[in-house]
Amino acid sequence: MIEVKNITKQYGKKVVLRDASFSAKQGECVCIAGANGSGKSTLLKILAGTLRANGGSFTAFGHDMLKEPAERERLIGYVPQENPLIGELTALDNLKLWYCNSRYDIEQELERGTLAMLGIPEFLHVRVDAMSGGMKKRLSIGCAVANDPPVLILDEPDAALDLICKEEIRDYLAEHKRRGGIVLLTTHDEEALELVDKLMVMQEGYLREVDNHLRGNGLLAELKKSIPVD
Amino acid sequence: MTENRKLVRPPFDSDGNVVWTTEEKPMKKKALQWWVWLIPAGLICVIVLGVFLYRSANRKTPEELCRDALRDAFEEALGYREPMMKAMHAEDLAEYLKKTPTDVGLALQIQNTNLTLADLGFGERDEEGNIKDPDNSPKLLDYRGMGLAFITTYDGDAVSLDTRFAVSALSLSIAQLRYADGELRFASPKIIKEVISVPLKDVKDQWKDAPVWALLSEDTRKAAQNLGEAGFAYGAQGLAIAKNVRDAIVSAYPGGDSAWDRMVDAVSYEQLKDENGKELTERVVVGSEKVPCYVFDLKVDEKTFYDIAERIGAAIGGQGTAEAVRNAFRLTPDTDGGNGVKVLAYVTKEGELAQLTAEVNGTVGEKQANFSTKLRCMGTDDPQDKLFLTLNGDVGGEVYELSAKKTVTADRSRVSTDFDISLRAPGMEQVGLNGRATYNIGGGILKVYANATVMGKTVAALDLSAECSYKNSWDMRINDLTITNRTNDKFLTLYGQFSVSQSKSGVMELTGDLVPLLTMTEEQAKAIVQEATDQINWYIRQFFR
Repeated sequence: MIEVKNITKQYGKKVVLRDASFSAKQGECVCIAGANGSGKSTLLKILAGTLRANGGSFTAFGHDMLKEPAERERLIGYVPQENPLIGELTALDNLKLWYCNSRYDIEQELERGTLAMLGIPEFLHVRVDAMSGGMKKRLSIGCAVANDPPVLILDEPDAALDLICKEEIRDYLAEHKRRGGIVLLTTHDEEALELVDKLMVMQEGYLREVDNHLRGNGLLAELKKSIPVD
Repeated sequence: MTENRKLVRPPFDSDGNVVWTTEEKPMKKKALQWWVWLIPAGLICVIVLGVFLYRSANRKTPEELCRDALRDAFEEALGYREPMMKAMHAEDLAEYLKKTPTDVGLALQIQNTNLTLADLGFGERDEEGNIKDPDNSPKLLDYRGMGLAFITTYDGDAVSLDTRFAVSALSLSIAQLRYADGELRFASPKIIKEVISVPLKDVKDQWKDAPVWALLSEDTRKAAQNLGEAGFAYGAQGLAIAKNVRDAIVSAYPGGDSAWDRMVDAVSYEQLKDENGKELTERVVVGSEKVPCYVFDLKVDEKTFYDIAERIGAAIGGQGTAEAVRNAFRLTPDTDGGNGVKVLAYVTKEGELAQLTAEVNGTVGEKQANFSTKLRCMGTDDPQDKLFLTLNGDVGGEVYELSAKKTVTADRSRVSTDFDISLRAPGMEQVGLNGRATYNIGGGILKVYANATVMGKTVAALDLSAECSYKNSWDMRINDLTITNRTNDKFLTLYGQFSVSQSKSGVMELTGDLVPLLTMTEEQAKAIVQEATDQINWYIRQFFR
């Protein structure tokens, strides 16, 4: 399981995260909803190790993710908003960069593994520059799971994707949950909430759990709720 | 999801590991029998030879070469070789690269800690093409542990960093350098085994010429990871210390960022020259021009100081040093500004640490302690290598002084190191050690002459020679070890021959014999024993005080 405790982050005097805490068990999906600029991506970056927190802890499977980078690399896959791909290379070339240290064989993965499930063979020899948004996102996920990490962190994986692509990614995430993996994502898409076991709302750095069945106006009302004052 | 995409993969266990339930693990393929490789190896040799002959006859354009080389590099399994390091001027780099093929691969690690992703042009952009919220862009320092790599080419005219950047927590960061004409090119990382320092250009003006370290390797990804994991251990150790110290301050000290900035401004446009008047730095201003320079002058409370001390110690020398730093200063919470740390580091244009000065004020027990230290390194990659270290200070008025000087001279056949160390502390006379060690490269012969002094007088002299022999053992000979008393009467001479070797099990073995020759009188012996006993007792008292 993973446990996030009292993560704080500030830039100068500006506090971006205030004691963000939550936990997730194996097979669970946690979604963090919130307005743009509320601190969702900052939290994910900290959990993924690309930003340093000012305080708090993050453990996964008994390891301190903020202090054990090797374990973090083994246990966590991160798909940032900006696709971490090289535009001038094909999908295959990009994958080779990520899989050169992986325990998985890239050909087998393309044939009947994760990469096949994400539909990457369909555009294997297409340059990233020429790819659609959906292709790039699927490829980004394919890169992030090169080491088959049990914890997947995805920052708006469904942004600007068509319905089919969204469904394929959701299928993959559902499969990951079924295997006992943990999914942590941010999204503005209510359809993605089908996967979610725990729904968190982020408002100006405050994180709180709400009913994960909330949709539509109910969820909107939660997002607009007044936040506590220091 | 179509059926043929159905993933057949076992679940994760409670430790996050995949639980394999079948023998058919999707592992990388096992190596085949050696003889199976003969046929493809022969074919590969023929193909390589053919390609070589073909390319010799039909030389491709640089662009084609680059792209082909990139394909080749990514198609083959990327082996890793230990990289070596070398610092260069940007001009030298240009000359160097002009002499190399155009498909040179570089992996660079940015060492300017204040650079952000936005500074390099990465980040979400608004409708006008400006990067949104650049102030909150992550600093590249945050990616230090993962290693930053750039794959690049160079055509000999200019090196410029393209603002493309791919970064992820779990991957390396990849960008490209760009030709002077603006065209992007990739190339195959080659085995060049050198690290070079090049300026970052084509980024924000104030970061122009910020130093970076470049690592050339056949496997940029692995090399970059290693470089990152090493935490700047390669090459620019001094710079690393300064940067890590800065990092420690900023992360441990509330408002450290702004304090840092203020301090940086305070030392703008300082210059440092060596003893010959040679300019080491140009306008040592962080964040604006040539060379980083770090200055700290913080008034901190006890907890913060310990935190900083621990981080500095860890940055410089690991946990042991951290503990030493923690134990050295027992601070009381600072209410009157009595405690503080001030560190000033100058860095040469090559990125080497030229001079580091530090002042520490605090209390040891109930006594006020003030220490200052100066470290000067001259040309760490130079045949004539020099190191000067001084440490001066007092605890409650009791003076401590330590100075160390090391000069290395080298030519093709031998390396000589002259050293001179002096220590003065309360309750003891000034002691020193000086001498010369010469190592003959071709013959594996080491000669050491050393003198130990008390109050400037030689009390012991050592003449030792050693030769590296078969099976990695050293045959050593003490030609003369003479210990004298203060009236320069020899009272003990020791000589003999022995060898030091390492067995297969790794055990160090010492064989041989030493012949002592006592020349002192009984009274002299008693006096020496008494004096040694007094000194040891003094050290014990100091230790437990």
